[in-house]
Amino acid sequence: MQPVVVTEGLTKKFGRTKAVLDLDLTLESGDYLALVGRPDSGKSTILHLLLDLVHPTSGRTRVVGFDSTRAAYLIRRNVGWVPAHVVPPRRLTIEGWLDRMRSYRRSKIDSSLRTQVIPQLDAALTDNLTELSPAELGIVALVGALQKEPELLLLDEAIIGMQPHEDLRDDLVNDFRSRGGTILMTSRDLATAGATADRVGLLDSGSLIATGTIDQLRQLGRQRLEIVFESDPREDIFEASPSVVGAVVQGNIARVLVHGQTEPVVEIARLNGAKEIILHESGVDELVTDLKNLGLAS
Amino acid sequence: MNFKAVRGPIARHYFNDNQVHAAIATTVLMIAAAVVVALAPSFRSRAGAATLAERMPDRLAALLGVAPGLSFDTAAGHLDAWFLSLAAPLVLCALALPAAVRSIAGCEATGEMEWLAAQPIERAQIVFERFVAIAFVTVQAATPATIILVLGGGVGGLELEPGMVVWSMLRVVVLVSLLAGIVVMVSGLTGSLDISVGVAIAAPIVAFGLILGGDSSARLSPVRWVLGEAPAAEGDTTIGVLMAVIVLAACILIGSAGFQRRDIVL
Repeated sequence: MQPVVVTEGLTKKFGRTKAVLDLDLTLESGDYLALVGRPDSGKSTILHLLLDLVHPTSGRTRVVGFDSTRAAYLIRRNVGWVPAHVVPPRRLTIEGWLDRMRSYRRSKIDSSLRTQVIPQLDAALTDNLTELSPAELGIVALVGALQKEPELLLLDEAIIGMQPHEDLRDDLVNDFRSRGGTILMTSRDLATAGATADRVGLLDSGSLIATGTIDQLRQLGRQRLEIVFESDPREDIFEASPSVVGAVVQGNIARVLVHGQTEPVVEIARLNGAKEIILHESGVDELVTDLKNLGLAS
Repeated sequence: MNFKAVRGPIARHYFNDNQVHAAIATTVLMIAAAVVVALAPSFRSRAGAATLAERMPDRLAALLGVAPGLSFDTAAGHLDAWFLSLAAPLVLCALALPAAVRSIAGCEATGEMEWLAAQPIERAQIVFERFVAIAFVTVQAATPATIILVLGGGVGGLELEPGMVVWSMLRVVVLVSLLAGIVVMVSGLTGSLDISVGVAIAAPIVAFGLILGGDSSARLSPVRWVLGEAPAAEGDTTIGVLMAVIVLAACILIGSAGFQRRDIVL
């Protein structure tokens, strides 16, 4: 079975700015990958390249079996898309907008999804789109994307925006996945991406610098532990642990920087009377900086 | 209103999206046409109406579509001067040119194009169908006024030939469509809202301004190609209309190709 998404050496420059640089990415059927990075790291541009909203400077892209620059129309028939900021046409009802999406596909679409989902937003299909919050608009856009039964769902920064309706969102996404659907999403939030997607790709300046599960990525970087002891511990308490990069002990609190497995450090802390251990999870900025400092990313 | 004659989904949707503006333009044109018809008997019988055109500066007379030798007290002169040469094209421009700006560049500026262009449609289809919608909206806005002129002409004593009125209004629609086509082309090529708005403002000013520049510059004006010196009085501008249609088709093709090749402004 051929991959749902394949990019080879995909590069996009806007003038002198390199938005995406030499990207090699493969998504198999059923994958759920989150591209995570700081603002302007190229996340949205990658999705726009897959849909041929922007044209690549170089490289090759195949999506659902078609070349994105030659058969974008066929790709868009089989890809559901929820943009970061949903801007629907003015003065339309929910039903009117969903009908428009259906009309573009020019094929019969099961409209039962809308009748199941829209009432859960405490809205009616005849409500005007202007009456909806951004989160509700996001859900309606997700329904519009899913009603055409796509092979691939692209969610651009959309997951966090739908958080007030996260149960409904998760139901829709999980149902799509249970039918073998593939998802590529983008996010600035590492924790949310890690909690929703199977794998996370870390982007920096248009380059994919690391890919893996959220735990694998966190172990690549440095993790920050704050440990509260019953009584003041020895200052050299963590010297024996090879994964500890640095440790500062102030009174009964130790702040420990770990590269790799945290379990041995936690074990040492417990043996020495730790009463509370707090793991400060790295955000995107910290993880990217760590990987660069550790020479794990260019 | 959901006009089924506009067949493509994008054209149909854009046609519907412009109905509020179309209703305003239709109303203004209907009122203007009714006023022109109603005032015709009193104006034409007024002393001096026959010689008003002769006393008028040449360039103003040209702008109002009063051809040399044509008098305001003829039915055609009255209609040209007060409706067909300036008022009707400008009202229709006020409807069609903003719609042309919104069709591509305006849609990109709001972010709506990011969603629309990700639907299973060709970009050339967006340009073409949205232009078709603008042309249909223009026809829609012009139709009631045309009916008033045809039916009211007899009542008001204008004694206009219905065929001539329809042909004249059709040429006004072609002229406005051409100007809208130029704006759609620029909008498709650049995606820039500022440039598109600038062209939408400049296009009618240049087109009508060339009329004021004398005979040599007037020949360059699409207004002269399509409407002639006086649309109702001088009905035969078939070649000019064909020229305008060819230029219009070229504009839409260039706009489509440009929109296809460039990145969508996000």
